[in-house]
Amino acid sequence: MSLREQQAALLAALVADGPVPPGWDTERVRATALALARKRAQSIGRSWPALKELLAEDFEARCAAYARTQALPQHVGSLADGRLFARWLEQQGTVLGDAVRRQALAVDQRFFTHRPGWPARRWPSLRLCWLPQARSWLLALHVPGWRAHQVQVRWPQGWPHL
Amino acid sequence: MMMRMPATVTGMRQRVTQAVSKVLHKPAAHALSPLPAPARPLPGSSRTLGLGIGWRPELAWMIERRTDLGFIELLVENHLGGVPEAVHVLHERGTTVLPHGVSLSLGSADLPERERLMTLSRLARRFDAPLVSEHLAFVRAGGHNSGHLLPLPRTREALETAVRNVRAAQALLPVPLALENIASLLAWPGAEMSEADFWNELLDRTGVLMLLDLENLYANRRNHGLDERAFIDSLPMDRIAYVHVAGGMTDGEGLYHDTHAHPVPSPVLMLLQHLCERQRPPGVLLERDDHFPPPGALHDELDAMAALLSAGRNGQRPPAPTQPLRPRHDDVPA
Repeated sequence: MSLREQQAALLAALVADGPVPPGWDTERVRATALALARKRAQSIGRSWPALKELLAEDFEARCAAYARTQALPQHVGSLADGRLFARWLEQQGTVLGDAVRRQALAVDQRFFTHRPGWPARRWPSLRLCWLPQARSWLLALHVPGWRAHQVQVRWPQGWPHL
Repeated sequence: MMMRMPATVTGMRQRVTQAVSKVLHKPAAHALSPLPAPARPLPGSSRTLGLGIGWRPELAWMIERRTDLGFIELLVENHLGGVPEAVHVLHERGTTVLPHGVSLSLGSADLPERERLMTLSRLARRFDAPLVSEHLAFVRAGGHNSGHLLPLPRTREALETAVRNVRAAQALLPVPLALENIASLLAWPGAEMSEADFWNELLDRTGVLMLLDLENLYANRRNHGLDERAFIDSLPMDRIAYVHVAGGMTDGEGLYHDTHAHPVPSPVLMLLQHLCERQRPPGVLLERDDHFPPPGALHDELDAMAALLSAGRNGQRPPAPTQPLRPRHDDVPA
């Protein structure tokens, strides 16, 4: 096997539930896979402290469930991983808190987060975002290379929720 | 003259012993270390590093207040969106900022990605860094990303690939590259050479510098039986750019994990002593990534590192059989 094939086989065993390649110590491969999963969750927790706070003691378990469906992004590291995790949580019906929504908005305004490799946005971006805890609309303008500007408008009590 | 020389030597020994035992045996109230900064320059440069710490947002306040830090490491992948103001403040104050990457994957079968090298280059230029550092490891293969550093097989093919990739990186980087030895729970089957031979040939053929991580050597002794002193003794001392010191823990199955979230174990400081007795490196850096203790505990670890560095030798001497300090405890149990 070439170096490329050897490395791919090992990685498949470590992060994609692949078979342990011949010649390897199965216990060590399993221990490494666990350590990698733990490090992945820790990295998301560090980049997205609001997500960790939101899920509290469920954080590691939800993160592990997410990690089984989504390979670690190749670029931008745990910032991208956390953004995908937040999107996955929303699809699962979890209501994201204001702090997570604010960070997701900031990230979405800086990068094309739906495109592979997350290219940086070169043009201004204007977004509207609902913050359920503050019952407010957040209007955010981001101009690359310049400060972000945000206006938060409280949605009056009794008005119909959009 | 005859009377003063031994007194100076004794005084230095006492200071080193005190600072080291403070960390090993009981944490004491912190006092800023007045020890002199080491004068050994980086290979091929007139700049020195001295005592350093890996910059983390949680440590920003402690780092800013400690005045004897000559350098910090900036984790490249954590600051893609911009570098915090606190780092710029340190840089303006004269602290050397070294970009430190973890995702270049120089051990992969593919060439290093240009975009990642450009990011390293931009940071090096922005902070006028004397070098950038990365790892001898791979993180990507076959469309998978491990997210963390994995070891290379010690085969001719892997060595040739690493040499090619390191040369490609050096061609694009504006400053010298230093490579770090990693810790691993895994050992590839079918090794064709020793870790020392692999490193020496790589250093020799590429001219790359080495970032020697002493805790990773210790981890590889615990997990794979590496003789870390023999490994250190085999290295060309004048190619060591700086040294990492950190802590880890032993899990329920006896495996040692390089966590950077636990105190520095005494055998790691003893390796630093062993290295400094041969020749002190241009810099020594403490890494702490999680479970941040009160600042006093980190100051004590930095004091101990500074004391060992200051007591080291400037000129190189061949390794001599020395009486090492006996460890009082090994490391923190899980």
